[in-house]
Amino acid sequence: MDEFKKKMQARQLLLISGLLGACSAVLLSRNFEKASSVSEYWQGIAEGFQVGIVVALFGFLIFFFFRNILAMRNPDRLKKLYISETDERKLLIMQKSGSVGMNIVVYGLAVGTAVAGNINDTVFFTLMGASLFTASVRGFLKLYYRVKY
Amino acid sequence: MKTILPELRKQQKLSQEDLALAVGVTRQTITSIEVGKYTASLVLAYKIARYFGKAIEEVFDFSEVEEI
Repeated sequence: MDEFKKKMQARQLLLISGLLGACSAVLLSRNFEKASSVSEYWQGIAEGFQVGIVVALFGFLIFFFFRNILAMRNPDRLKKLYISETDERKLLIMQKSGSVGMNIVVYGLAVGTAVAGNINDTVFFTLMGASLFTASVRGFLKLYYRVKY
Repeated sequence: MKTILPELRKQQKLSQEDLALAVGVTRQTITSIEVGKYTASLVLAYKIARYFGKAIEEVFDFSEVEEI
């Protein structure tokens, strides 16, 4: 359990840096001049979505931060958190959903890229970048785990 | 995989939650093992069997395991 406590402390640092990183990214990006070609209505939707994402992200980070603090102060909570994080069935579900989800994302992006090629160049290159990035991450992870196990 | 885990628990008047805590998994995992939806890993099967003072094959039924 001591190992897990150390892991939690390292995770707290990561959460704090994640929170600070997200704050800086959002604040810095406000200084850029936005090139927009869509109507005010769609700009409003985009801004609403943007605010929603930021609020959700901060909400998650703060929730995990306080959950970890409470767990580190109470041995029973810490044990429950440890069990919930190391439960083998939960890990199996995560692995399965992760790998199947990744396949679906790569497939969806590839189809989207091919379709966007006929419609809009900007969307096409954006999706192409996302497809290549996702496919390379998948390939890299496959190689990494083949070497590891 | 079939198991006599529910019977063993009932004999000892043990809840799924208690067993789960004792062997270090969630209650949902114990439920899934009991209904045969999830096959426990070797380590977990060993922990469960040891908890009841039995051998793995006494707790879990390997007769339906497919042989290649």
